[in-house]
Amino acid sequence: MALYKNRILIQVALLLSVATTIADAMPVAFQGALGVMSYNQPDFTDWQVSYSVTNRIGLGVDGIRDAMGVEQYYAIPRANFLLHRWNGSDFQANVYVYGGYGMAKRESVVQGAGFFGGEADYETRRLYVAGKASSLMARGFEDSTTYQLRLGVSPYLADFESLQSWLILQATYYTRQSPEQLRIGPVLRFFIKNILWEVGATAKGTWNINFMIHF
Amino acid sequence: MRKLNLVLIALLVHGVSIAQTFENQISVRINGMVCSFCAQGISKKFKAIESIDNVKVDLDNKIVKLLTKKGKSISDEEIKEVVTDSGFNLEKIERNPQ
Repeated sequence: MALYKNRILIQVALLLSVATTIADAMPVAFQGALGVMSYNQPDFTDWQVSYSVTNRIGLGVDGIRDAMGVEQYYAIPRANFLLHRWNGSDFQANVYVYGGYGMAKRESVVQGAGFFGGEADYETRRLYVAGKASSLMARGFEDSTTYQLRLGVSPYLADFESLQSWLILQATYYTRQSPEQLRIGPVLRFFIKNILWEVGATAKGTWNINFMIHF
Repeated sequence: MRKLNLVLIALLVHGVSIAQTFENQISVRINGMVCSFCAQGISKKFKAIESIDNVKVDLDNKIVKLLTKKGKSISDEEIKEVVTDSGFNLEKIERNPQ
């Protein structure tokens, strides 16, 4: 019985460790696109600005506040790569990787900080599956690693000019010690034209509000 | 007889205007276009082309309909470049679709 339980735990850990499906951030958009993205929770904030140099490469900068424990701040220039895209007649799937090096601050200490991660996705007009893993590291600081899985459905099909809505179930695990390392809850996603926004919350009441605009 | 001539002239003018309308229509079938937020780029890029008068994205049929300006045109290569730069795959180009 103990052996069976351990095997299940190992399998779940492996699943979480390789969970890199579906971009919730669209790290690379169309060539020439300028994107502004913001992800917000009570104890974690991430602002990104990125420019898609080509349809496969984006350059940007991240400003992050991680308050899960002692507050840590990051400013990271980054590069995003679309490793591969599958364009089917009824679906699109993507694999991205990204990384960067910048600065981190914790109390009065400033250090160089590295960032790397990956994500992948599969999407049709009705179904959306996504996951990602990313990590922020600086010497002497707690690593800030995130794993996330998302599963979404669209209750209706909207035309190109209309509001599109999605209901998403999101599970996120943060390695930093906080009262709620594993956060599971629904997220409502809306987008119209070039503006996207999301609102969600966990069962413990931890809210998240995100938005993205691309020009 | 005069009335008949007038009718024939009206039909001729109408026929010419229809021919001019269809002459400038291009239907581009695209793979991967499943999200209007992601497809904004393709609309923006086509609209930025000088010869294009109107762009209509049809997600249901996976088609982008282009209308060129009178006397202007856009090549297949230009169309393919826009589709690729927008992150999609070109499946087919149909000029003056019925």
